[in-house]
Amino acid sequence: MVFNTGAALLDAIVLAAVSQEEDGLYGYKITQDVRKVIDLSESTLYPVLRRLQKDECLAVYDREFAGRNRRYYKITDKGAAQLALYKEEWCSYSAKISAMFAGRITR
Amino acid sequence: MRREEFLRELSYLLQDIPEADREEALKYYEEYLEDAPAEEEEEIIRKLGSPEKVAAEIREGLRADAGQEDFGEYTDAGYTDRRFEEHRMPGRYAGRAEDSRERSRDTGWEEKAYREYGTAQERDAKPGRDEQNGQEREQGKKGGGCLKPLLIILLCICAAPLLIPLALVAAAVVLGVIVAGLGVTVAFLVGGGALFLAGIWTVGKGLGLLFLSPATGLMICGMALVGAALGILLCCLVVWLFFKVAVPLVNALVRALRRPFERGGSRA
Repeated sequence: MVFNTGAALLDAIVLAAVSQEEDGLYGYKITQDVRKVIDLSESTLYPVLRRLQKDECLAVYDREFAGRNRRYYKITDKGAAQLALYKEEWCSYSAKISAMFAGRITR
Repeated sequence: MRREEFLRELSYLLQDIPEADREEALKYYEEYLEDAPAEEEEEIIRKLGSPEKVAAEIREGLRADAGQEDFGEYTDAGYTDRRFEEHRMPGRYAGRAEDSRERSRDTGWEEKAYREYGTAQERDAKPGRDEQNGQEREQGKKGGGCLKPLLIILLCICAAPLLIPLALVAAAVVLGVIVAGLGVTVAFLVGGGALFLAGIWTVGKGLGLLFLSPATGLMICGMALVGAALGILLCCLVVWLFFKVAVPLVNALVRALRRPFERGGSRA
């Protein structure tokens, strides 16, 4: 990728990926979903998920799957509020950039 | 690399972090690999990177939340409106160099999270938002790093009066054993050779006797041949023992002696 994904944008993408499912998602699935959108190493997400969990944007719970436990990450209210903020900011940010690229910004 | 191997190494590398954090991280990766399709396991493990890199990322994550306030990672990128102003700081988007590593180094935080981990020094030397933090870290490391060689040198000086004679004695003993071993080897070899030659010579004598007293002649011939055979056997045994036992023993000794010097050399 030519463009860097900053910490905030990565948080936003992860929160969006997790919020896709009502019941939340597990680590492998989140990683694969995020990897569909941005180029990042498979091992990058563990610290990010952990931090989001510590910041109470994500909650974890264990659910049984195929005779073993699987840890699910679920978005919290705080996380949802944060994601909404991110989305809003992203829209204005990307709209401005797109406008600039399209030559629509006039002095 | 197999899954078990990966997890075992990761567990080994994370020995020094708090037990709860270690278990959590290991559980995450264990589940991660179980959730991956079995046929892709090897591929996924390859993509995860070396256990060293994964461990470094986990460690970095822990370190980051230990110093979260100073770090300003999340606050900086998080709740305040101010953050978006800061996000468009030149540092982040200006350095659009070809080399993405170069670029991410400018941006500070990102390299840690998204890129391969450099060496500790490279990371510490990295400028950025956590510069102050980095400097403190570096200083801490330097303090610890300086003290250790100093202590070792001091210890060496104090112990010198005792160590030097001891080392000399040890060297003398080793040398003595080697020389003695070589002597014994040569002695046996010469003995074997002599036995062989004496046997051959006696066979000649026995053959001469054969006409005068056939029984005595035959007996002497037979005993002489047995002696010659024993001589050959002895020589073979000595040579075999020398290559099978003595040479590897000396090699092992040389390796054992060289090891401390090599390590000392790389440290200095």
